[in-house]
Amino acid sequence: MKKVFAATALAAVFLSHTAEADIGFNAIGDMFTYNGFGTAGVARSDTDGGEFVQEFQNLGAGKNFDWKTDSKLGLQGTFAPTTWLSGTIQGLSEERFFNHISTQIEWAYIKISPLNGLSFRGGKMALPAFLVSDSRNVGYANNWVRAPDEVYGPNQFDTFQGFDVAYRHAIGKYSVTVGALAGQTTPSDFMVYPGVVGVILGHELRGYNASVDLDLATIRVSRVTSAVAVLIDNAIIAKGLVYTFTSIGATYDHNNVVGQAEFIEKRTDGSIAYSFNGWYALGGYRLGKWLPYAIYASGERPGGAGGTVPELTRHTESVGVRLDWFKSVDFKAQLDHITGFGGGFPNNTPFVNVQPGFNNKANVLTLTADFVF
Amino acid sequence: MNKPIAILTASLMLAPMAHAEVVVIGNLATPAMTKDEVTQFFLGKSQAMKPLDRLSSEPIKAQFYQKLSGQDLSQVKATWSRLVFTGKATPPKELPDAAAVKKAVAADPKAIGYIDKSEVDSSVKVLLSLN
Repeated sequence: MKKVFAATALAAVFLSHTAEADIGFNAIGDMFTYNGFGTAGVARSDTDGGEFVQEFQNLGAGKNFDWKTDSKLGLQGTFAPTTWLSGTIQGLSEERFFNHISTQIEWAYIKISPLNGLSFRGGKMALPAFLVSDSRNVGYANNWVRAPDEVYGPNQFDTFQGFDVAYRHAIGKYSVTVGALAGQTTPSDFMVYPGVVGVILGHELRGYNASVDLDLATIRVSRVTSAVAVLIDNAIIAKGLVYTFTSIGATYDHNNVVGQAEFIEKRTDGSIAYSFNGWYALGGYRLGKWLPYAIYASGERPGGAGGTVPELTRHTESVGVRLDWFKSVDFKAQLDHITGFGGGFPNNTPFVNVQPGFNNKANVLTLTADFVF
Repeated sequence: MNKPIAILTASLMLAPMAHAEVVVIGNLATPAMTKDEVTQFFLGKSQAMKPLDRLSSEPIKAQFYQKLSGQDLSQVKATWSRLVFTGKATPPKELPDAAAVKKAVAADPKAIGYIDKSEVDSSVKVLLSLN
């Protein structure tokens, strides 16, 4: 009884803290600040023919309400002994390919800012391949329930170890930011077919990106290249594959109109089967605390190689609403109509554990609460 | 619409505007700023100055961001959550009242804050008026 009471009290304290506190300056002493984010979500599909997943998951949502597809919790701490030097670490718990719900250190880096607008970082960081790379796991920072998998799924790599440099130049209320990175990707697991697991690793990683902030709109272009090695059961089955991932994205936010769109192209020389094109467009309109929105996302694995590699396509129509009723907590509901293909790697499928006769279509309802502190 | 209701409606609409004159203040050594510059510091686009925020329980906070950028606090929070969780910036420190803001900007040439115009004194300089 005591335990139940203690747990209830703790939960109440935690909830009132997150409901009342801002994303803000949470400090311990003069040099250490911390922040956190999280999503509690449930997803339910109208079919058990195939389980709906996001990238790097091998279990997903069926006809039961599944809380693992979207739920996550992140904590971030920054130690800044001076204004020009800081160290940041971020841990994230979520459903992953292996280990299922597990906590990993997503970022651990040192940042040096010798001049205003100029920064160098070294360590483990998010790979900035997209418009929304580093804040993608932060539900509160995004209007959707989850990033469209047609665009965000095909990139095999979320983080890398190495160095980057960024420079921002402001012209009145506008600004231009350019960045470059070098290093190697964090190894990524994938399912070749049930029971057989592979690992992808990108060496000689290079990245370039530029963004223009026009106050009401932001436009970003990025390219990441790497020499990719593929291992299955610890045997190298391919190496030195030239991997190129290009993205162009834009956001718009003015008065009550919200828009966001992005296009990606993944190419892997030596195998058309690893290539992918995708895009999405989101439009929304703010009505006070409500933000209704719609998303269309489309992706294709181009066919080729004399007909031995078939073309595969998937697309998702989504409608949803975000409600900002409390401080630092939002609620979202999203309905997705998904048309895809089954099977596993490397095809960026929305469905796993597919049953015979499944028509590769599903309607998925997702409810989430996102918070930051 | 009859007259008393019309007057009531008009005074309700004017009421929030009447008492809210927010000024951006800085150290006596800090040059005046444009609205664009202040926006960049308070929305985390530039780290050249150190913005100081107020508690969300203070009505002046919502007024300040509305006048500065036309955004409500949940939009400001979403913007900051993008910045914080990209490691690009640390959110502004929140001070409890105007006296604390004045004390902090008087002591630090990099610090800027905002208070009600009626609370300005000789220890600080008005960098920008928001009306």
